[in-house]
Amino acid sequence: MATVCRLGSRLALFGLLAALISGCSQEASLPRVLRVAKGSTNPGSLDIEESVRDRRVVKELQALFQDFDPGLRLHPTSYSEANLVEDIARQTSSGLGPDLIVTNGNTALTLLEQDLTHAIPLQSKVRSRITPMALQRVTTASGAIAGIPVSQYLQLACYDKRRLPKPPTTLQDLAKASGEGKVFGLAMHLEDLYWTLGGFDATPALEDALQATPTSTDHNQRLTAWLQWLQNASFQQNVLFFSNQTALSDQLIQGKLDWITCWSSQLPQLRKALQQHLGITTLPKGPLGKATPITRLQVWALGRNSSARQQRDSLKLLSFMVEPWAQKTLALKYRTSFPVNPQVAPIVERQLAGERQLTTETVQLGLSDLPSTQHANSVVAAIGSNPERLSRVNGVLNSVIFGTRNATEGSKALRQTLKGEQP
Amino acid sequence: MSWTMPLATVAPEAISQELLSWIAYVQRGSVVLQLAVVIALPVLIERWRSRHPAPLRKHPNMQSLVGPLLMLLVGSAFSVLQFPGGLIRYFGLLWLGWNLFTPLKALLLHFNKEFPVEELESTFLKPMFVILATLSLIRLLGSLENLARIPIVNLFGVDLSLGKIYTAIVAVYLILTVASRPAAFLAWLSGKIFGVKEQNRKALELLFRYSVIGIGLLAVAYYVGINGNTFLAIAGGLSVGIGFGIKEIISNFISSIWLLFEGSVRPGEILMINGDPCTVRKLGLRATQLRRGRDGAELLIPNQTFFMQEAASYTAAETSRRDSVSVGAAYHHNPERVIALLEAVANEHAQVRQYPPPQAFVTDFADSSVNYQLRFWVSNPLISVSVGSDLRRAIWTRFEQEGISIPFPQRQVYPMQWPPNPQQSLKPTEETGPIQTPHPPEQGNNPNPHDR
Repeated sequence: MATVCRLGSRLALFGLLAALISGCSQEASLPRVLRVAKGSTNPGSLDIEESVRDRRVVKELQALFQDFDPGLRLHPTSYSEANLVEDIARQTSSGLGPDLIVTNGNTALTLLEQDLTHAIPLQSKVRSRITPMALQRVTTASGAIAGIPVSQYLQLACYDKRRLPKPPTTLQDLAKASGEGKVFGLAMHLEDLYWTLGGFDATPALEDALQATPTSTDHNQRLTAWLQWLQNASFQQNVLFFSNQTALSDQLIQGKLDWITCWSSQLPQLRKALQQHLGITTLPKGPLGKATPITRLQVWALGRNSSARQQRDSLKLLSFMVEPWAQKTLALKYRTSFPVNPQVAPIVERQLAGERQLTTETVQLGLSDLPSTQHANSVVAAIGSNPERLSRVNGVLNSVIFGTRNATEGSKALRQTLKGEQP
Repeated sequence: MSWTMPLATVAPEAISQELLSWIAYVQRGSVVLQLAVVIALPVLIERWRSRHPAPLRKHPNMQSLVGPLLMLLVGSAFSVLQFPGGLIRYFGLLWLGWNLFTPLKALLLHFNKEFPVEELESTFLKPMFVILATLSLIRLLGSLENLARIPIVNLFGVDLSLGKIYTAIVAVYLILTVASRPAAFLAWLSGKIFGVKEQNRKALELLFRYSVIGIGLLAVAYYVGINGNTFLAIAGGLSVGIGFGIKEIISNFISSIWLLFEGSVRPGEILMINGDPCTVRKLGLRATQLRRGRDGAELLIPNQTFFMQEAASYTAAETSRRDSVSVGAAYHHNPERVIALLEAVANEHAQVRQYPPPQAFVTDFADSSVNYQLRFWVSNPLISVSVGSDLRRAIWTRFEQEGISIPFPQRQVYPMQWPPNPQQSLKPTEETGPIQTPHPPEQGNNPNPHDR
């Protein structure tokens, strides 16, 4: 009896192992499924409406792609942006990481730096379909590409027309309106605040520090003036700083804020809540120049655990997504983002600007190849290429906003951080 | 894909898609290899152990940790070699956690032998382990946050996500299993503060427990989003259900609540069920559990029985029980003397109550004896049979000492021939003569012919 049992257990073990190994070797006969991990657009907890929308978008993308490659299935899974890196690290260490990760440029760089994704082997054909500006934002210092930028979001000013009939066009107007009781909301992250740098022409000081070249007194003074404005604004009773963009839009919807900075990805949610009362305009200019908003990218990165076939399928999908046809179809279907393909971008920009009652100038401000926009994006890309440095820069900005450092100390700390020194 | 039922729509599409997507994992060599290690390692260890008696056989607690630790070691070695080994480590940790229950129980018993380790393990530790293992596995395979938030059931117009359903099940389990603890504490506290009696305390504990469960279930319902209007809808639906299908269950439940408030059937009470005294052990939601004093059998009687039928209680208001012993004495003894003796015997018994006093009566001038009945009271109804037996023995002894005889009828048996021989008279034969036998008892189950 014992012998029979032993034989049975041995057969069961070999059967199980054989089944596993045959499953592996007969990969071709199994359904082709790619797991797609999608980080939430905004940090903080996962928004159920957003995750349902994301699932729908990925499924519709699957339907589009199946016209070219039938049989490939995409399985979307949403993660909160705050936990994304940690969750992907845990899954990758177990071999259960996703095949594709959809996130923003900075997180894509962090994932590559932590060896949680593969660098993209970009062919010249695909490279030509992405604006150099967007590609630069996902390129590491060593030249590796952390992911494929697929679409980009604009930063705008959103306000409630009932509470604020005339939005400020300059930072001075903004201060005046806040003194009159209008409540303004800003987010504390560098990406969200970068537009204010243009108003003080403070970008050259950051560039100097990044390149570790001596900064002129003039550049230094402009950087300090910018930080001083940030601190003064935070001390105002009616200018409020929030840790993330989701909180800002929630407060605008609830009527606690009258004006906020917003991203084009949030427009459907805001328009649904405020309807015709939602106002959209350009970000206010400063004493020395126009606002310099940057774009937020949607980047698709390659997971580390994929099998050879899964990786081939992933690269095929990524290549498809930057094709002009797919770019135009996706951008016009969802109308929250702008394409990265330079051939398609102008057509879609014109159409969406008209629909959104935005001036071409507004759209151009963030998306065009104007020198100021190029400049801004390149500085953010350079800072973001080192995620640790980006985190330290955000730390310095927070300390100035909360008043634990004065503007002069903040300026010095910022320059030191960008040079790679300890502030 | 969704199934629509009255008041509810189930759309498990998200779950089926999630399960389907796990196929992607089996197509990866690293995952297959890890699964192979996870399956093969325990089998190999078991085989090795059966062939070579383990050096730790005298320490089973230590021995149970060898396998999991080895698996963790293999998992770590995978990681050192830059190969995914997290799955092996995960299953190693689960195995270790499961095997740690035995040493943990031994440790608890070492410090306190009275500690209810088995109850703790089955009602709390193991369920908690299963909950944590499920959650961590889902987290490893995908996004727990995402899966938890996808609505899969629409109940009474409320979208229920997988996370809410899971949390609600865990919360209901905890409420049902742990509710007895705060209820017992409250009952104990009320006993200490207000001096509530032990029997009432048990009823109070049950009431508190139902209250905790009721409030807990309401809280869970509100947590999942079922509001007051939905409760009305549920009540409407239930009223139809009660009318047809679950009338008995509801009737028993309501009866149990009513009986508790009324205080007529409480744990510890003694009731006469079909002539047998029974102790109430537990008043459940559906049935009352009683212990029959005669044979120790556990009786489960639906609560509504007490509601619909009469039941004799010895503990409702009056806790003592009256019983009696019957005895006969010969005609020539003075009844006054016999009655005095009987009452003296009863008074001398420690468990016979002094008040109301025991009383003896002449009950019959029977064929061969004057019959008496001794009536007495005992405090505990369950001991009346044994006290009765004691009294009968004491009466016999005292009658012997006092020369009082207990008469019994006598019968003469003559062997006869049938059909009668005309040559023979009805005289008894010379060989045998008349045979005298005691009169057989009139009732076979009464061992004492006079004790009627």
